[in-house]
Formats: sequence, structure tokens, C-alpha cells
Amino acid sequence: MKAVDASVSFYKREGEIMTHDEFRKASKSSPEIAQRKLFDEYFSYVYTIVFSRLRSCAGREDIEECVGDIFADVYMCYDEQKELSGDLSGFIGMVARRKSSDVYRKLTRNSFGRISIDDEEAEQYEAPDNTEDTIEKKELRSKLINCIERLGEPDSTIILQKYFFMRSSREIAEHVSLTPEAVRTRCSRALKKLREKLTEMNISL
Amino acid sequence: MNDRDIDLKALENADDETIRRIAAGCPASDEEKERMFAMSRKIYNSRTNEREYNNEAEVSGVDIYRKPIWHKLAAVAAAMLIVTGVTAGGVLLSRNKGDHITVSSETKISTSPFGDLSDYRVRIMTAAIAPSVFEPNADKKLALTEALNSAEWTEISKDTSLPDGESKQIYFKKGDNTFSLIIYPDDTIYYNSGSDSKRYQLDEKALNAINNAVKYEPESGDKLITIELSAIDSVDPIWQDITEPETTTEPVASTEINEDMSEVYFPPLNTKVKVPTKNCSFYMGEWNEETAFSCEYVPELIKAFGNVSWNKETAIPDNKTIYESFRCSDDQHIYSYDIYTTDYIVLKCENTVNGNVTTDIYSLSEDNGIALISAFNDAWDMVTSVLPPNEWFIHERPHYAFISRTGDTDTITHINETDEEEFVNALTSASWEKLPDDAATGDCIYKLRFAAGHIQLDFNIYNDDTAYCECRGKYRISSDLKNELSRISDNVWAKISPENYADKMPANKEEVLNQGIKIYEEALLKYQNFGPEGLGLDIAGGESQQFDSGNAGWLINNVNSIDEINDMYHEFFSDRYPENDIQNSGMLFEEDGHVYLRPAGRGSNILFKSTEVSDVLYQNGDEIFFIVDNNYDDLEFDGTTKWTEKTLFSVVIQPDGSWKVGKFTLPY
Repeated sequence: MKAVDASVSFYKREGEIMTHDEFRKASKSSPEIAQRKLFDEYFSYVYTIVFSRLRSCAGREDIEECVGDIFADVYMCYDEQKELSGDLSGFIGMVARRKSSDVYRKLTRNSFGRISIDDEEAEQYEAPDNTEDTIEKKELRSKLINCIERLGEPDSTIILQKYFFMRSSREIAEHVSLTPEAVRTRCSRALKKLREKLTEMNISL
Repeated sequence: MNDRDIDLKALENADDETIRRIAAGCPASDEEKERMFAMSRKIYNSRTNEREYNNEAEVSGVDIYRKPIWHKLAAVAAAMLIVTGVTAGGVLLSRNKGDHITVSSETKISTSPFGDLSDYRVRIMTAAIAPSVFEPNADKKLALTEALNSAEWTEISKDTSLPDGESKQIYFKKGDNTFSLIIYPDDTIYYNSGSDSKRYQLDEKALNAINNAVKYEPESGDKLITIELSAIDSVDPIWQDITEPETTTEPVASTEINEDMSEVYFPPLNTKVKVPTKNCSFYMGEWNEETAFSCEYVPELIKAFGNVSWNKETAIPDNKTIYESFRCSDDQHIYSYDIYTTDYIVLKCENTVNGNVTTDIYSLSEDNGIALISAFNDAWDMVTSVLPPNEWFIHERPHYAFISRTGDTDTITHINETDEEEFVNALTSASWEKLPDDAATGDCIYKLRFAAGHIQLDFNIYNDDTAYCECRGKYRISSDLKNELSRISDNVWAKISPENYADKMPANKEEVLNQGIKIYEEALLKYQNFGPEGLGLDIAGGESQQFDSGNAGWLINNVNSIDEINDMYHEFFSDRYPENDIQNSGMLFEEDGHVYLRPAGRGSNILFKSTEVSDVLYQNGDEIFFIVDNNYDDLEFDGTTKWTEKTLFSVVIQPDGSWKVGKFTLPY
């Protein structure tokens, strides 16, 4: 069995979700360990929200900085003893979406033909609302993710990591128990299957 | 992105449910996570300190610090400078990576003073890698040439004094045309073609893009090329490893390209050779003249070699095997392409007149590698989809076959190697006549499943002598096939019917069955053909270790060899079956006297639903065989298919009477 870092598993067992109250209690005895646990539990969720918002305009450094910033915000909120209760994911998701939207606006402001004066003034300008979620978009996303998941593992992970998270075969290989060459081959075949599935459903990307 | 790629942009800014589903494939490594955690702590600490400072300031009655108004004015001025300094169009390059490029709507077609650079080959030398150069990855090269094409070039005096510090050199080549650009630390640029030289200033935006693109990043696909030290003083020797077309090897007599002729890019000659299309063939695997497919109907594959960038290599790394092969020939030459594990290609040119053979090795970048494999896959699909199964199977022998039981099309079982021969003969000797997609079919009487080439095929056989395969369509088949399949099915199923083994049934069948169920469930937990879960190994957590061999893995602390793990494994699993040898899992490797587990999870069959030992089949000496029912369904996705696979499971009775798992297949 894989050994688990004791400091990480001290407060909660793997797979269990930390609540607001548990985080507060943990935070009182050791803020860093509590922050670490919270980070480990919500990292994938936050990273995906940020990547999803910034993938078209930011490099990895920007994305990593934004993720760091979001978690710092979350830690701060607890320090300020804000009234929060229950599952943390709704709150963390909200902070992540808001913060990544801010970064998106900052990175793309020149694309909208404006001159930035200062962060405070930049807030007055709203970027075109890219977050509007129509029923059609939701339906498309749902069909798309279904088609990807239907490829089965490891192909679904390979397709997501390659074409959504834009990772190299070498990086993907580490996640899916294959050599980079095998990842490329599977990727090529999975992509073909995905295209066929999407064509059947009249979806063009 | 080339046209073979797909953009999952539609998944951007998704709703919460979709985000959670995508997050399951979050690719960040432990190292990246650590970096982000450290960053979150750093930001948190700096904010906490700042807040404490502000709190103190409030307590002492001083206003919280506000940015003076002149800061805003300075920011406006700075922004104005930047905006007026750049051209209206151009490329917005993200801070570091060439793979996040957005072209603004105002982009116009522009070129550098030396023409359009987009189709030049580019090599870059920086102080960090000199005297070597590197070829940037495709995205970076695009960003660089776009930036140079769209930049504002202002010529300045060649006598402008040269600044101190390190410069970067960019070398360009298209055919015989070569030149270089030197980027000085004062951001001026020196152009040198050998016969002409000039000096320029560029706008800030272009310079930023150029400076980003000239960073050597091997992990992103930049290719390092070693240059002889004596070569770097001039331009052309930088390209010394690129062989130009030789006049003596001018191919084929015909110069006109028509439908019967094709042009195939042959990298060692850096030109397209003209060959009769009928002389072009390919195979998915090591070259086999007998089974290769002609390219006459797949011209896209022939073009594919000219659509990728080739990097000259001196050797192929170990453990590479041939995935695809291609041959073409004219009156005097045979050109062969052997593609090793998607990224290395051995190219041979054999002169059939004088017997001379030249061999060159090239590699492809990741994206180009995928593009080339996709071209082969597409060609294979296109060629095989028009061949009736009997002709197709001459090229590619079906394997890993299943057949349903007579009268029960939802239950299939594996055809063993002996019966497989008969099965393939039955398929290839039958006649297959293609029918239109809307042709009527009768009732399904048999279902067949087998792999051919790289795909798994499901065929339905109907009682009116028709057959259907989802990805191949409908066929009229000879009536003999129906009878042959009936015979094979009965034979295969008889072998897993307990009633045929009454004389070999253990006396205490009920007790044996219960014991078999128990050990099977235990085996499911312990057996992982991808890793040693359940063996009590002490695996170091945290960051996996990287080795020069390309291996990466977690150290296993409490063993010193894979054999040691195998011994632990064989305390529960018999060594009678080679698949029970953990060495075959590929998940373990040894480095420097230690054993490592690859940092990866195993894929699984998402259609798997359940598995159970359903009956005792027979006892043969010290081995008892059981029947296992594995249930699968596709209902969640399209609601059409559900089936049961019957497989065998066995236990081997040890001299002391205890049982070890014998034949076992993980059902998911």
C-alpha cells in the first residue's frame, strides 16, 4: 500500500471532504497543516476552474500564480472569521471563478482595445461576458464530456490532458501508465474515435 | 494546431458538474502542486504581514496608504508608450508559451524586410547552449516568425556601437537561401546573409515575442543540435547536417505528375521523389511485402511525409519497435520508411542498379508524430473499410476472438487458440458481398467479437445469411458460414459446459464452489496486472524520481529486486501461468539496485458491471477450473448493448492442500 504523508492525513482520511468547521478547528492547532490539507483536497477542482478560464490567454506561470492567489484568498477568509458553514467547495469555487475572471480581464484587456490605467479603474470595464451559459452550450459540453468519458481509460484522460490541458505525451505518460510513444498512438486512435462519435451526434468543434 | 487535432475549447468556463468531471483528469504533477502550494503560502504570508502593518497603522490613527495620483499618471504614460509602440495587428503571445497564441481580429498579412519567414527552417543559438543550436518547437517557431513578419523594422546605422553582454543568434534556411539575425542586448538586430548585412531596431512587442521564443525549453519539444565548433562563424555550417538534394540521385524518368504518379517527400534528399502510385504501399507494423496495403486509394498518406518537420538524428534510442512502415519505388530506387514507436524513422534509399544503400535516421516532434500516426491510421481505416472481411483478413489475421452460444446471443465466450484457427478459416473462406446500409436483415443468431489490426470488431450474423458490423456495414454471406459458426460455437461452448465433465467433477462440488468464490474475490483485490497493490509494499510517496533512461517512478523501500516482489506475489498466485508474473505488468523497473513503481494508474473497462464465479467446471489433477460470468453493459451510453462473457478461473492445489490462484483474468 502506498505510504501517505502523515502530516497530510492527520486531520482527515483520504477521500473525505473537509468542511468549514473542520478547517477552522484544524487551523487553530496548525494553520499550515490545515492549509495543506485544504489545498490537497480542492487543488484539482480549483486548478481546473482556473485552467478552464485562462487556457486561451495565459501561460502556465500565470495559471499557477492564479491558483496560488485563490488559495491565499481562501486562507485569508478563514482568518477573518467570516460566517461560513458546510461544504467548502461552493465557496472555493466562487472565489476561483471570480479570481480567474479578473486575471482573464487583465491578460486580455489590450485585445478589447482599451488602455489600462490602473487596476482600480480597470474594474470599471467589464470584458465581454464570456461566462454566459446557454442551454445549448451546456448541452454541447455534456455531450462532449460524455463522448470523452466513453472512450474509457486511459484514453479519456489522454484526450483531456492533451487537448484540454495541453500537456505533452511525456507528461501524460506519467499519469496513465504508458510510455510517451504509446500515449501518442492511443491519442491518435482515441481522437479518431472521438471525432466519429461527435460526427454521429452532429457536433463539430 | 493542425487539422488532425481537436480543440476542446467548448469545455472552457464550464458549469460546476462538468468542471468536476474534467478535474478527474487534472494533469498537475506533485512538483507543480508543491509549487502552487508554496505560492499560496507566500501570498498568504505577505498579505498577513501587510494586514498587520495596516492594522497597526489604523491603531495609531494614520490613514491607510493610498496610491498617489502621480502613479496613475505614470501608468497612463507607460501604457500609451506600449500601445503606440506596437503595430495594429500581430500576435499576442502569452508570457512564456508559444502554445497560447491569439491572433487579433485586426491581424493583417505582413512580412519582414527579408520576405515571409513562415516557411523558413529556424535554428537558434544562445549563450546557454552554444556552440549547439536548437530547433524550436512548431508553436514557438510560428510565434517567432509571426513576430518577425509583423514587426516594425527600423533600419539603423551598421556602425552603431555594439553593446556588452550576451547576444542570441537566429539562423534561417529555405532551400539554398540562408541568413542569420543577431539579437544584441540593446535590442538591436543585425542581419547577415553572407553577402549583405544590415542593422535594425524593432518594436517592443516584437522583441518581447522574439525573446520569449528564443528560450531553449527541451521539455516543450525544442530540439538540441550539436554543431562543430569551427562551423559557427558563418551561416551555412549551422545547417551542415541537412543534406541537400544530390544531382546524381534525381529520381524516375517521368517528370510529369499524373494520377498514376505520386510525389513522396524523402527527407534525406530534402525533396519529393516521383514514383508510380502503384509502387507505394504501407503496413501497420514491420514491413511485410505479402500483407502490405497499396496506397492507390489513400493519397493522403503519401502526402503526409511532406507535412511534418523532420529532425536529423544519429541513432535510435533502445527499446524502439516498428509501428508502421511504408515503401515506394521507381525504376532505380527503393525508398523505405520504418517508423519506430511514433517518433523515430529510419529511411533507406536502395539503388537497385548499383546496389548502394544509404540509411538515415530522423525524429519527429510530438505533434508531428501524432499527425503521422494518424495519417497511417486513417489510411488503414480507409483501405480496410472497403475490403470485404475475407480479403481484409488475408492482410490481417483476426485474433482474440469471442463467439456467442447458439440460442443466446447475449452470452459470449473466448475462442481458444486451437479453435481460433478454424474460426479465421471460416471467415476467410466465406464469400462476403457488401449490401446497402438500409438492406433488411433477419434475426441475429450469432455474435462474434474479435480484434483485427488495431480495432475490436463486433459482427452480428443473421439467420437470412446476412451479417452486420457497426463500422463496416452490412454483407451478404455464404450460407456455409452460418453452419460453420454453428459448429464452432457448439464446440467452443461444449468445452465450458460442466455437464460434459461429469467424470472430472470434484465430489464435494458445493464446498469447492464456495471456496472458489472466496479465493476469486480475494484474487480480484490482490491481482493487479498493473501494480503490486495488496502486497504490503512500502512505496515512498511524494515526487516520483526521474532517471536518464526515461523511467520515472516511486521507490519501493522494502524490496531490492522485482524477483523479490514476484516471490511475494506467488505466495498467493501460482507460477503455473506466465500472466501471473508481475514482471510482465510493465509497472515495475529496477534502477541502481532499487525497485521503482511507475507513477501511474491502470486504465479500466468502463462498461464492466459485475463478475462472479458461477460454477465448477472440472478438476484436472491438482487444478480445479471454475466458470466466471463477467457482466458488461453499454446501457448508460446508448442503451443498446449488454452482454456476459464467460471465462475460466482456476486454482492449483498445493502439496499441503492449500490453494493458489491459477488461471485468472481481471475482468475490467
